[in-house]
Amino acid sequence: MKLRMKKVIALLGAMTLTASLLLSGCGGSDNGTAGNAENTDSAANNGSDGQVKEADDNTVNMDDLPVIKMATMTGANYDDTDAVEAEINKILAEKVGAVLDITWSGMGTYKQQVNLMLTGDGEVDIVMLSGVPLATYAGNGMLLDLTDYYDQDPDSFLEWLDVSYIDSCRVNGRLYAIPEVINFSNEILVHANKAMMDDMGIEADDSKIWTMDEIHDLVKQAVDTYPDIYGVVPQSGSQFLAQINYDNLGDTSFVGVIEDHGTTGKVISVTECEEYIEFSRTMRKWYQEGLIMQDCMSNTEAWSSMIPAGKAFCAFDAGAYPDNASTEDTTYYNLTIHPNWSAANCAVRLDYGIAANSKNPDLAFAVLKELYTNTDICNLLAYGIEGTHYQITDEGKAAPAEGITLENSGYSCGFINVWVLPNTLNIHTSYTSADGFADLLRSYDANAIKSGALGCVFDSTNVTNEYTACVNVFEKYYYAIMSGSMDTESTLETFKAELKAAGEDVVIAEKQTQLDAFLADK
Amino acid sequence: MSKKITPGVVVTHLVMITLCVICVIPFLLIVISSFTEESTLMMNGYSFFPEKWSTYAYTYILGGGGHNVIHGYFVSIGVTVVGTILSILMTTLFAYPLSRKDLPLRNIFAFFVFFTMLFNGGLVPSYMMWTRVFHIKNTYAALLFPTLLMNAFYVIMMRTYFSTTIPEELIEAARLDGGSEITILRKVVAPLSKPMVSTLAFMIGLGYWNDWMNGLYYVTDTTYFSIQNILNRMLQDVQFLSTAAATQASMGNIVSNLPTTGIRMSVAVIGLLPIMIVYPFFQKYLVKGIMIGGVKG
Amino acid sequence: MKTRKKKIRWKRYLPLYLMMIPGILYLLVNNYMPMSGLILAFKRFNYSLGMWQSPWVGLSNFTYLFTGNEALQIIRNTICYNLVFIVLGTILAITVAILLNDVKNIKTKKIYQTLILIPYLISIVIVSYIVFAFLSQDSGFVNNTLLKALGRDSISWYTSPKYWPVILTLVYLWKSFGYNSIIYYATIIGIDETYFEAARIDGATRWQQVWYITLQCLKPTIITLTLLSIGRIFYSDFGLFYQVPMDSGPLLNATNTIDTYVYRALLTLNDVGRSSAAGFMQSVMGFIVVFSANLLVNKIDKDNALF
Repeated sequence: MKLRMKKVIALLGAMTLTASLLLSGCGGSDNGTAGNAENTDSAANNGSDGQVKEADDNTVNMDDLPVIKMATMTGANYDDTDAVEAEINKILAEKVGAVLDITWSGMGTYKQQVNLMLTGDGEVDIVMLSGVPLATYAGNGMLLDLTDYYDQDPDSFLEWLDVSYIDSCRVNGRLYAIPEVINFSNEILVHANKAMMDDMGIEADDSKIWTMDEIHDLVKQAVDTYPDIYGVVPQSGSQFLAQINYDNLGDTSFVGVIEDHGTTGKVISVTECEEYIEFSRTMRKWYQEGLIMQDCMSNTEAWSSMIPAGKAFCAFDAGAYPDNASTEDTTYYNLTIHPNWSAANCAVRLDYGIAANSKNPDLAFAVLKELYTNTDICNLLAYGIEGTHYQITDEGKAAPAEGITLENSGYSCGFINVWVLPNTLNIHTSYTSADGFADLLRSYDANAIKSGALGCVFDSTNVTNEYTACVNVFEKYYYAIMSGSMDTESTLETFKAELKAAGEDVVIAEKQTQLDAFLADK
Repeated sequence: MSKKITPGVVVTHLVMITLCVICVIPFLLIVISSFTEESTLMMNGYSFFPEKWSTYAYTYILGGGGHNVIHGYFVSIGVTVVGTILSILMTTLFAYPLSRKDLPLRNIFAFFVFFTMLFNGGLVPSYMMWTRVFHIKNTYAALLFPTLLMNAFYVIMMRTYFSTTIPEELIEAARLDGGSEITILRKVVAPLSKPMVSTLAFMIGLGYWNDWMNGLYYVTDTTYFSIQNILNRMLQDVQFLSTAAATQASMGNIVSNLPTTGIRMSVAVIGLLPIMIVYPFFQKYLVKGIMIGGVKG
Repeated sequence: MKTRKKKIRWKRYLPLYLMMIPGILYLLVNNYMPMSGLILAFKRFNYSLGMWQSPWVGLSNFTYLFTGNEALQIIRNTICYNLVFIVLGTILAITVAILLNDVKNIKTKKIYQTLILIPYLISIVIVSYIVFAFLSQDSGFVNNTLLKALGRDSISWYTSPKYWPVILTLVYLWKSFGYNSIIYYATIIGIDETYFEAARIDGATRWQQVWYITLQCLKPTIITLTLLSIGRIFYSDFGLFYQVPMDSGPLLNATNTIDTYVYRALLTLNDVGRSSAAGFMQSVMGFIVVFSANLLVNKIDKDNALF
């Protein structure tokens, strides 16, 4: 046996050695061994020398230009992406001296694929970031420090973005991403089934703030009138409603919150948050009255399919709905229960950064800037080629071209998921939106209640152990209590006790420290 | 049936029939739900006797839902056939020497195989290896080579089979007749191993057919998507949209085209269909292999 | 060593070693080289610095797996589920394999074989929808039909953790028994028929035949399969424990395992070091357990040891 063990160990040792030699070897020699797929890349290295080229007067041969690769997400397939890219590249070749290559990843698989691409060597340059903790990504060395590039010409971005939003993307004073130009505030509201409301003869006054009692009576009436339907269904999956007016400084769970739109300056446990407890107690009553979907902890259906199907009356949600901004006939009314407000992390939910391993960081930033500021490129990126994919209506809005529907279109990003693009306002107004939608949305954001901690985003690095334990406890109880499907008082007690045992105090203290430092800085 | 029916036979069949029913009922439920009209599914829930039938889900998917399902099918079939053949060859070639009790260092090689079942370096190093050294990203090789080509578990199963069912004397006799090792493997061992080879071929083929991980990690270009990648992407997008809303900014004019329950069910059926078609044919060879290998053995 | 004295033997075995070369190369490339990534468990992985230049952090990546009650509970859950799965799974699979072998009619046998494999073919996401179709609070088959017929109140399955150890075990057995019994069956049909004939001539009963011949011949396969499962005793099927309970929070006490815990904890943090640490721990613990088990087998029955 001893002899055998020795052999085994020797063998393992030898293998590990070979492995390490080979792996470290391949890391070093990578530049030379690029295969077919990477040919464009080596061309990039020769061509650019890392400098932004001035446009030549000679005709530019696009094949020789460095390729900037961008990854973003989609829920559909855009078969005509190559054609759209070609149009975009005509502009980019002249302005920047580089061409763009877009990789569309499925939404559900996006995060994993991008994280892998980022480990690669120049596999991707520009990346869309959705709901990632910027501090962690920056700390992991995944993202390029954009501060110096940005400082060369901040104004072209400030034309679209408030400086406080841009500052949200700073980690220790350095800029790692540019926020998407999109809505920065959400209201808490109820999507109420339009057909049922009309049928019951209730007027949906969307200019007022509805009280919970009014909503209660509404749901009650609906459930009484239509006994086969769900009264209230969850916001998404088994998440009943993410948050109301408390701020969590941008982590995806609510371990440690600041009450009153983050203005109190004091981080407390969510189990002590008045608004949360109050809401949960109300929901428990509703649940027992049968107003809430009994299955909501195992729900996989979206409200957006249940309400149009006539299966549900309403759902709580958060979203940006500037008055009269939508001309499209929707299947639901939006009844505001809490006015729109900007949470601390409103500008880092969706943003664009550049991979730290990018081979052409200078060109990548130059391209990124065009994607934000060049209206022609923004329109191409959103709606595709005019005449082929979209047309301008008499009202000056973008609509699918003659004979093209959203289903058969070769490129429909702007109509079905515009929110993945860098600048969603520097484009033609969509035919589903009201005139001057961009201005409507901007004034809506400007009038929003601002979080007291706007721009302060929690970095859990120092307390990861406690934080991970707390997240697991949070998953157990937070939404279950909120949906009313468990006894509020006793479950709250358990929730509180388990959070304490998991080290909630440490996380709260750390959050408080970061908040204090942020407020002091301000 | 000329044989007499004993109570034992009755019990055997009763148990097997019960088990089969338990296995089939849920599958039937999926098939029926995939043909149930969407609103009926929502209002009445899952049922074996739906009020209204519909083929909408299938027309939606085969009409593309934005994806090329037919092409995906061909990719899947190609990868499965090539992968299974390569894999069976490698597995047999590796397992046979391991099964020879007289082979020096046999246990060390066995350990070399087994060790891979316990330890793996994780996704990131594998990804770096395959993409930086072998450049398989966005090629068909990406669906073929990583992880699936040789599975330690199958090597061990094959080895166990060889060493328990193939008499050593047979191999010894063949060698005394002057057969080389390759000849022995081909002429003596392989014919006796048909049951195991067909079983493993089916398992390996199934592994290739059902795999979506390689596509997820190593393929972003939809030209190389297998059917499973297409289906997985559809399902993942649904899950993303139904769980990630809390972190997404939403806008009034988002049109989200969520595949509904019926579509998810038909997705499952479409992925299963080829297996259900192929399996009976495969069974024929499986049974034949059993007859030759088992009865004569 | 012996080999030097017996050079001829080497020559004789050379073809056998050559046969193994493709497999060895593949395992080196696919498994052993990436294994160097296990060092990430002791590092803070930095994407720009790469695997080798990233800074060392000692054992700090591991601490989160051992702090607090949660960690203790998930380790306990993982092991207990696996033990139950191994024991019940093996018994069921062997029983079915033996029954299948008893079916003499080839066509019937073929039908049985085809049907019992169906659950194995269905992806776990779809399985979760099936389970939901049965257990849903107001439209599920159990609440709506079964319990109603019995005159009982409906049960809120997705908020009551106490039922889930049983539910998950049933789902696991349902999904895997076909596959496992086919493996055992493939071995059974390889058994020399003359053994049974001899036994029958000696007047052995059906049970005696099963006990003294079938099970004895299955022993190597049983030992191999069990040893392999024991090696993965710290792992859990993510789909079974995450998708099937629909990620329902209130069930976590019964459904949380190491893999789902790590997934939930690191979902947003993208912490390569900590996930490597979890994988490393699962591997090392599995290695220790399986190594001891193999030692034991080696002592009792040397031929059947894995290595």
